[in-house]
Formats: sequence, C-alpha cells, structure tokens
Amino acid sequence: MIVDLNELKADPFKSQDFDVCICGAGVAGITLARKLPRHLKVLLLEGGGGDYSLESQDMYQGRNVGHEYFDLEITRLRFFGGTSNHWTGMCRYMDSYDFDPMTYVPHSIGWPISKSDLDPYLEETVEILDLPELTPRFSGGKLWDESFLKLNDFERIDFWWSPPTRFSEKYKSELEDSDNVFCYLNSNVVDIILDEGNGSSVSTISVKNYVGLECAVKARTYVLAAGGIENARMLLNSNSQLHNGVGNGFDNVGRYFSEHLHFKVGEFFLEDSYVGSIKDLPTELSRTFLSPKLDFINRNKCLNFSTRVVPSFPDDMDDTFKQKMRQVLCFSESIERAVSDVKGSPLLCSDGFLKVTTDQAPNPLSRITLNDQLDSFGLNRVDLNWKISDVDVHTLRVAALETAKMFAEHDIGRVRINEWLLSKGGEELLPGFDDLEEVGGHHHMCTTRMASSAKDGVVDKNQKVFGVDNLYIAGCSVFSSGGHANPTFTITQMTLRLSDYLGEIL
Amino acid sequence: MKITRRKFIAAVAGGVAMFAGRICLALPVNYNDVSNSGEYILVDGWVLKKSDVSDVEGKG
Repeated sequence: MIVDLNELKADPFKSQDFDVCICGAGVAGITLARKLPRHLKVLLLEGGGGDYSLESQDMYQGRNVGHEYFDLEITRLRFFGGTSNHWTGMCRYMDSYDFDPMTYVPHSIGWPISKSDLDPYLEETVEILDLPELTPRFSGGKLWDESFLKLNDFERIDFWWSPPTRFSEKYKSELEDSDNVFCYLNSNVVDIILDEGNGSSVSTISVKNYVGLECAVKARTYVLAAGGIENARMLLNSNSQLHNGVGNGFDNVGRYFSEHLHFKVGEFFLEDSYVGSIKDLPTELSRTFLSPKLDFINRNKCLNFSTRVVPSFPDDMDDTFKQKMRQVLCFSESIERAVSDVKGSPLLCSDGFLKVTTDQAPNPLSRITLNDQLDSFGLNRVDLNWKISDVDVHTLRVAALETAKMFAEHDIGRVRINEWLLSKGGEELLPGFDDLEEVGGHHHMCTTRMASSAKDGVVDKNQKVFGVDNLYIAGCSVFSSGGHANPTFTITQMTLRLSDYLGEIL
Repeated sequence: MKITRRKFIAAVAGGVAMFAGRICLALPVNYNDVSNSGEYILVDGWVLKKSDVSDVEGKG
C-alpha cells in the first residue's frame, strides 16, 4: 500500500515493528522493497510526495563551493521514483578493471567486490530497466570494419537505452497492491537514533511529515537509499549522539565525491569516402563509443573513459538542401561567425565532435559537508566542494590526443583538439556551463564508499555501515570508484545483491 | 586523404581556396610533436600525420 503521511493525524508506526526500513523511494529503494523476500515486513519511506513539489524539492538546496556544478536542487528529484523521474536512460555495466585499485592514483583502494559478484544480477537488471536484450545494437558497419579491427588500444563499446523507465509509473501499482511493502510518502527522515548501550546499532529513526507530525520508526534493519548526496547528509545530520554523525568514526562520510566528467574535447572531419558512401553514417557515428583497454590505461597512467563520436550533419544524409546550406554557411570563417552570433551558439562546421566521459580519481577533499543553513526541519543543508584532480584532466587530454591519432592513423579523418585542452594546467583549464559544456553527468557517487576497512570507507562489502550492525546503504554513494558508465545499471545490480544478502540474514 | 586534407585546411584557413601558404605559416607558431615516434604533429590544434603537412608545404 501507499499512504500519504501528510494526511494522517496520528503516528501510524506506533507499536509496529518492521523487518526492513528503507529511506528513499528512488531506483535503489523501490528495487530493494520489491525484491526483498515476501515474508519480510518492509517499510519504504519517501521524503517527497507522489509528484514534484516545491516544498519537498527545497530540501535539496545546497551550495556549490568547489568546481562549477549544477544547482543541487535541480540535479536530482525528491519525490516518489526519485531521480528516475528525469533519467535519460543510458545504461552500461562497469568494466572488470573498474573494481581494481590503480597504483598510480592516490586514495584508489579498489572495491572489496568484483564484477563477477554483480554479473549474476545482469539479466534481472535488464528486465527492471526495460532494456533490450544485451546484444550490441550496432555490430559493425562500413565505417569501422576495416580500421577498428586493427586497433589495439581502444575497443568499441555499446550502451543500452532504457525507454527510460520511470520507477514511479512502472512500479506504483505493484507497491499499492503489495501485502508486505508499506510505502509512506511525505515521510522525511530527520534523525537516526543509535542504541544507548554501545551505539553499535540503530534503535529507531525519527520521521516527520510537512504538517507537524513526528514519528519514531522501529525496524530490525535500516537501509539509506536517498541518493549520493542525501545518504551522506543523513548520516552527518544524525549527530545528536555522535558529534561527527553516524558511521563517521574515521571522517569518511561525504568524502571522495565523484562525478563523470563530460566534456567536448575536439571536432573532426571525416575522410570524404565515408561521408559520401555510408547512407546511415549519422546512426553509425552516434552509436559509436570508444573505450580504452586496460593496458592502454596503465601505460598512460590515466583513468577509465569513453569517447563518443557525435555527428553534426543531419540524420537524413539525402537531404541535399540542408547539406548545401551547411556548406554555404561554413564556407568562410566570417560567415560562420555571423551565423553563430545570430544563432547564439557556435555553428559546427566540422563533421562532428568528440565527447569524452571519464572516471574521477578518488579525492578526499572532494566532499559533502554540512553548512550553517537549515531546511524547514532544522537540518543543516550541504556544501558540495567538488574537486577535479590533475589525473582527471590528464585523462581528458589523453583521450583526445589518442583518439585523434587513431583517426589519422586509420585515415578515418582528422581531429582538431580544443585549445583549452592543449594548454598546460589542470582544473583551471576546464570550460564551464557558459561554454555550453555539460561538465558532469548528474551522477553523485562515492560519498559513502565501499571499502575493506573502516579507515578507508563507510560501508563494507555487503553495504553495511562500519560499526553499526543494522544500518546499510544502497545507491551509488557506495561506489568505490565511478568507472565511466552511467551508474543506474550498477546501482540496480548492487541493490539486487543487497536484497539477496538481507534476505539470507533476516 | 586528398579530400579530407582539403577539409581540414579549409577549416584552419577559413574556408577559402588559397590555404596552403597559411598552414605553412601556422607551423612555427603552434607546432608540437604529439607522439614519441614523431609520426603525428599538432597544427593549430589539428592532429595531423607528418605526411599531411609535407604535402601542403609542397603545394605552398
């Protein structure tokens, strides 16, 4: 059933004991609630309502005090279904070497699990996210056949596109009809209370609606599934018993915030035989993602990344009018500049551009902290101090240069690398939103990272918070590193694994 | 690669036909070897094969 806590006058949780209390009804929270064994009594708490509301979304306000980033109240959504409500749907699993430590990157600890621990959940994840079968959508083509088969350093990889699945729409009726999952909307977690003995387990959590009702929830096990920023914020704000918050004995909560850098690194011209002879060239190009092999990554001491080849010509290559217009407008620099001024954005006269998405090096200074501003529940809002390390910028540079060399080597075309990337320097070189860059992927990762020991992270290999027996965390805040792939697929795999684990121990 | 070469030269020089001299002039200003083997060079941001440029110089 789904109930709106705003409509209740009395505490509905009084004298109720749940087996599992899940805080957050996004991809991770809904998946966990659905997949836990049916004999378990599950409480699913959502801070927002059934739809977007300013009242709920306001809780996400915070300050960016580091590298330029999206406003924190728009980069995520706070209502039933969570950020799946504006998800674009790109999916890919992580590479096996994303789980390994990188010896040349400080603070890189690797994951205490491996890809093989998540592989058993691949098919179920495909079903949950409504993905087409996991066969490549594009298996070759005239453009890449000859040249790419010779490649040693890169491989062409595939992503899959979800419709995208809106969890609020797809799974609402199932949760309404469920006899073991009790979902409460407008139920905000305001405190995590530890037992008064040695503080090694959660005794209750405090929940408030928006009209003054405060409740205490008791469960055998608690799971935070509120997103990469809010999971850390909840732990840090639960500081009534421990000054540093819950699970923060080693001051790791909120640290290592990682994103996927998204930057256009250059433009390219194709060799004319490609442009003229491949009818579905735009499709072939737009489905092309290149990713480095492990040997290349180690040799270049860079991070994992993918390069996307984005065509700039029209989808319909037979549209000669558009083609001719483009040729005319791009004929001279002065015309190009004049058109760009009128258009308000650069006119791309090349055949396309290269867009690189990279992993980020773990950086303890890249972090979420509480600031002195309070939300309407009196909880401290967050500061995001996003840091970009030199190795992150180095990775963008390596990706651009090596892809460009590959284009030249195989006479695919020629690449012009963006000027900022050819200058010496680090984070300060990166263009921002004003330069029409995406900068990041709205992926908030690693703030409660998984580690082998409490000194290196916040949760163990089973996503249990170190030092707290019955508190778990789901979502990409537990990633030890981000890889280059969009995180939703991995979040879902890991949540299914967590569901199996909790099902075994409860 | 003749046609592609025309394209990138056009981009560097602004889309006009008299481009060869300009790209030669550009070389000393912004010329970097971008590979250990010396196979590739950087001209105004373009990653080119050395053979691309020698052809252009000849025409210029």
